[in-house]
Amino acid sequence: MITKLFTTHTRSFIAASSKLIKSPTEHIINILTVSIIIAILSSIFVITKSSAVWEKNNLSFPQILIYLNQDAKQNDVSKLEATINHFNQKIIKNYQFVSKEQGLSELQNDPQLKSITSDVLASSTNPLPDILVVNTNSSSTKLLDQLTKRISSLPMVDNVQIDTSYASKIDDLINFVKKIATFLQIVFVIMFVLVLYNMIRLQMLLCKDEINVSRLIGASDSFIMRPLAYYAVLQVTLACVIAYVLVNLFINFVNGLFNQLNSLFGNSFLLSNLSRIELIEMLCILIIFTIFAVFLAVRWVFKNSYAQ
Amino acid sequence: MDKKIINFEQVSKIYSGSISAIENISFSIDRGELVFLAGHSGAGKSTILKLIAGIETASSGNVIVNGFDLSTTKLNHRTFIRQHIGFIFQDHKILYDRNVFDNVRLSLDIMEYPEDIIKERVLSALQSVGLEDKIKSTPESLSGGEQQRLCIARAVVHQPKILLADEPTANLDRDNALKILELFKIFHKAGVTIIISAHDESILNDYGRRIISLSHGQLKG
Repeated sequence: MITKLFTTHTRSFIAASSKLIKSPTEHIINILTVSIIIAILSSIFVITKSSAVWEKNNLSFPQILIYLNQDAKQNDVSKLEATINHFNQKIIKNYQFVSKEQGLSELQNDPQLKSITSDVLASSTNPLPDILVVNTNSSSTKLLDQLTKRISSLPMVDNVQIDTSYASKIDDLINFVKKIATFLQIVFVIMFVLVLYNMIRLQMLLCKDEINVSRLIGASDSFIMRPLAYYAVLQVTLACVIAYVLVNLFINFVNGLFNQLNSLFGNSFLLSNLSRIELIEMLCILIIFTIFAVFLAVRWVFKNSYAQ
Repeated sequence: MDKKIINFEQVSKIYSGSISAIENISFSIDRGELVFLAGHSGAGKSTILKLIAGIETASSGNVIVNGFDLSTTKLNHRTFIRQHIGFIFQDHKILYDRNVFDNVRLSLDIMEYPEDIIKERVLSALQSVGLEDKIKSTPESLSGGEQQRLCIARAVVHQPKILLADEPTANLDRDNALKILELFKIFHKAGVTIIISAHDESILNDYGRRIISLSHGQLKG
């Protein structure tokens, strides 16, 4: 059974490869068209991925300032830290506890603040609260609000401060860019499926006699579809290799431009290369879409032209 | 095992445009029988063969082939049933982009036979029709009679239980036609059920076999 399956697939693969090898010029336009679509898809992916990395490293996400009650004890601070640790680690980058003594000492040592805070410094008791400074790793207002509410509800927490309007603006901007990128990817995936669908449809018209005779003498749909699927997969694989080269050329070119801009504006935005694993993952996803396109084309052609 | 391999029960076939090809036809063919379908052009001979092969479906009535009622069988199953039938088409349906050997092997490729069996059976089929020295020839280089023999080789290579031949002698001179009919006699001796359609009844009468005569889509006599 397995040997039979292997033999049939090997035959289909050989038939498809020999078709490509015998007349490469006939297929080069198809391959180039598909490779351009894949290159655009990969470029969108690379830009989105690089933007996410840049956003993490360069954008300052909102900071949460937690002011504790004057009566707060070490035990309360530990409880608060445990709550923060328990929260989603993707949102919280790190946190730092600033005790009231530490705060006072910083005030005393800051010559610029000394004149403003002379009343505080003159007082016999330390009026400053203990503070926990939480650096976040997210601009999602929904998640940040959840975190703020949770902390506010804890005993001994006097006040929680966060600039959510700033976070909201960043969040909206990032979501907008992500939506545009997703929309473009969907458009290009549909274009990819349509191009392959049409390619297979034309290929079936070219092999009309062979398919018709095969159907008449008992060929199943899968027998007809298998070599066409291999033919399309081979073309997509070749197109992926060409697209990989094109994307890397594009990245090198764009990074050259960014290097000049980065040195001017002191920034560090660079597009990261498409890794081999990402290339293989992309190829696997594209192969699934390819087989889907072949299936649609075969079904459509059988429904509309060939003998039963 | 049922003695009857093919059974037509009140079968009619109406093509699109209300063109009636056959009307209320009933007959049966026994396992291992050699039967001729005779009649003028347009009498419904090809339609009957296509109904047996499951290429067409009956508009009414039942077509039972080897125990399967093709009127109720799904397309996928009909395709599978067709793998056990050999069909010699009136217009040959030879593939001109490949040589004789590759034309004949197509049936075995469809049935997913291993390479060694394909080679053995194709050579044997070509020998049986006398084309063993034309293995690498292109179909264009063959004469009319040889092309017909190529079609027969393709139809018998997978050792079908039923062999359907649609006007196999139509474009041949009398000598070649008789040679082709002799080939069918050999396959018949091997136990294959054979149905041959022909419009020239003078050739068929010499064979002393059952003749199902058709006229305007109905059985004659």
